[in-house]
Amino acid sequence: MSDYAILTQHLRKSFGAAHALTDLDLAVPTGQVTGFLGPNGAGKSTTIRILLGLLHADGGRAQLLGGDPWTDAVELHKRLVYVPGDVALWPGLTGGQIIDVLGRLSGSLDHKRKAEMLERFQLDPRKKAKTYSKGNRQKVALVAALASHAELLILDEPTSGLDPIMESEFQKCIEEVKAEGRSVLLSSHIFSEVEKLADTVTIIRDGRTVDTGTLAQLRHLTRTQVHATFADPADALATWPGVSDFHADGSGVTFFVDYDQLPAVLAEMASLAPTSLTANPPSLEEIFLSHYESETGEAVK
Amino acid sequence: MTSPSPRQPLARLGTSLRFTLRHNRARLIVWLLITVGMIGFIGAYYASLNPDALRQLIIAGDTVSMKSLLGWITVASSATGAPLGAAVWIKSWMFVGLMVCIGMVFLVTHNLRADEDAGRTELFRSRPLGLHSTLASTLIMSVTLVVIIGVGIAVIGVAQHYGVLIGAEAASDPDSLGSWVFGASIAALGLLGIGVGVLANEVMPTSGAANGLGAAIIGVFYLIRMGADVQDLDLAWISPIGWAEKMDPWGDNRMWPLALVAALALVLVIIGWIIESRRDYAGSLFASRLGHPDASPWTTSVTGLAIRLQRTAWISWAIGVAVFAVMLGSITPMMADMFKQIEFAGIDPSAGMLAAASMLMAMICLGVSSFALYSGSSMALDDAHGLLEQQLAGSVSRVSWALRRIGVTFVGALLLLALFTTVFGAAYCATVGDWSDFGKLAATCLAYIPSVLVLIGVVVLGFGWWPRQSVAVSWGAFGAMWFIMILGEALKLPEETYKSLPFLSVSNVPADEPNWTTLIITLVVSLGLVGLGLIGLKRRNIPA
Repeated sequence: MSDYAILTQHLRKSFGAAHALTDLDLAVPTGQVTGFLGPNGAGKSTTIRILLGLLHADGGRAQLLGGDPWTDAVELHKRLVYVPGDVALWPGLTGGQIIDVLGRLSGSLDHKRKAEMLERFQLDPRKKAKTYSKGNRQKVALVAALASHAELLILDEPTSGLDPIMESEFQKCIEEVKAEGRSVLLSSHIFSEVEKLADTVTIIRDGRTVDTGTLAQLRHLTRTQVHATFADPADALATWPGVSDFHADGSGVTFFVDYDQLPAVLAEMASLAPTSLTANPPSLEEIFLSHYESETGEAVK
Repeated sequence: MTSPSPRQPLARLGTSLRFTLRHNRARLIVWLLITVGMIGFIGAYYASLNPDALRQLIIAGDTVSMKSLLGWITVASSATGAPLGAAVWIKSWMFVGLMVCIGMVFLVTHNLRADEDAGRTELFRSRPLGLHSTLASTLIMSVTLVVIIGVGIAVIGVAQHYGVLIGAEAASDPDSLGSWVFGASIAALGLLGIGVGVLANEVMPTSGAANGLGAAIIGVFYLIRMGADVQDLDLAWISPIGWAEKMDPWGDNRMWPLALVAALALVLVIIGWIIESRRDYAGSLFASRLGHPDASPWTTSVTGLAIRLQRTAWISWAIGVAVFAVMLGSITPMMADMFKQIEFAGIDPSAGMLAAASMLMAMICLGVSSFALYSGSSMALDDAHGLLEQQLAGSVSRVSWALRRIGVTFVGALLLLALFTTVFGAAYCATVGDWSDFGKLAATCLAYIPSVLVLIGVVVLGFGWWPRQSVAVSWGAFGAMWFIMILGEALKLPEETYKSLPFLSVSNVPADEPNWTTLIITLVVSLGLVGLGLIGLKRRNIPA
């Protein structure tokens, strides 16, 4: 078994004059969840379609479960499941029938798991697909995917339209998948979901990978927000290296400190005897947005 | 307690109308050109024939069986009356009229149910658009189209002097009124189609079901008229199609049946309007029921799923084909006397009844084969709706998926053809009382296999290389085949060309032995088309 469930290097794809992908690197280590983030139109769905053998890349390399996604598609698809961003259903069939069809297309379906998933996601399999709400349509594809034992799950905005209870159920399922040693590529706009589930994250923009790594590694570009209260005024903090956006507000101060300066700043603060201290690490959303501001040259300082 | 009607039911009608016209502009132009163009073409061709030849053509139509198929007008029985008008009417009225009638059903569905199915109507209705505005716009557009078609045909008729009597000069008493009645009678059938279409759209839950119901109702009207015309021409009044027939251009010249048909259409529209006032968005008279939570194992494979999804349509087609086959088979033997004048495809006139059967079967086989287009188009539709992507994410290769779907389409079409030729043959032999030709008649469907495969080949070729346009292109190619068959000798095609086209090349079966060389070449060409299509499918982006 190879180290990577998915590995792409310098992937390129154009549609006529439009360059969808110019230099896309993506790696999903086996047995891990990899988040795949990017704004609308960045090339996430194009990348996924190349991995599924629906599109042929113009350049670069792509490897899926140790094989070529274009030539070995039929064989490899027995080992993966896919949840599209926009689920298409056959209007006249019921949800349960569609799940069976999707399961059969992938290989086989575990009926016990299907029943279990239908229960967990509270989906009525007897209703005709055209009567489902948007969230329920999504659930049909989710149940079909989660009821399988595929080694790789490729999920493109799988929880769009799901309510918070179902979102939480989905996260539990992915944790279980991870515990079984299976791999997941999770493309999502829901930062909290990716933050909780992903071991590594790849951020792309305009068809190129702009950053990749674990959350800890990604934080290097960002700042931590610190709020502290002191008995005596501590304006001297504003001048310390790495500190920015300093606000004093009565006895409390708020400032941002560069991630790599944080240990030094905190050590210095200890000597000032703060009466309360809160430090918020940058959220994934801040990391993501910072790529925009730094790319356009407007530094967040 | 009944809820009050929504206020401002026709709000933003102008915007809705502009949008509807814009959305349909290609269709409107195509309809106008083919209906008026076809009649003009036929008229020009017949005008080039000498009056005696024209007279022979009219006499050929003066049999019980032809009258039951095509209808009849009194001027055709008259020795001196308007031969050009009579000939054009016999050749084109039923065909163009039915085409406009059913075409209007489809046009109405395209603008009403199809949008609701796709969810576009939901977007529109969330804007300040009146409840009935879309229906009203569709009505205004289609009624205007039908009127323009009627006027266009009338103008052609006047210009080509359809009403001129035998022996008279073109300029003297050309009976222009007859041409106007002619145009109005086709417009009447168009109005009928609009009315039936509106009702079908409000009653049925999906666009497919609406089209099916609309076409079935028109079909029933046609069969009633056919049964009536077989017995006694005055009985035609029992069918709305008969009302249009009884307008009798160049004969009794009655304009008032147009008002009668219009009134019927209006009643149907009003019923539809009332249903729309009360029903939910995307609702209909038939509510959705719960289904099975599990799929039967045989329906989960690509082949099984395709059969399952096309099952209802196939059964409806089969019922229609069987009914039609019984009626046609029974009346064809009466056509023997007509074929003293056969010039088509070199059929020996003395072959009589069997020759008549062959020609008729050719036309109907082409029609039945359109099932292959309907079924084959589902591949491109799956692609457009994202279903192909989802299925190919499973463990099935593109070519293997396509071959299974093509197989279902081919077998479905072949079974319908076999049903037609067998039932037709049985009805024919039962009427004649002689079963010796039954085997030949029933086996005719086999001769059409290469032709059906060519149709499928065109669909697959389009699906592989230009899927978004493929459905329209396939139906266009089918329409062209249909026109060539109907217009026949009027197109003055070289006989070699005529004999090598699919369907036409076997139109002499079973009266004659099929031309085996042509059959094999057609088969090879069709397999080539399928192969090329699959090559395109293998290499293209999905979705296109």
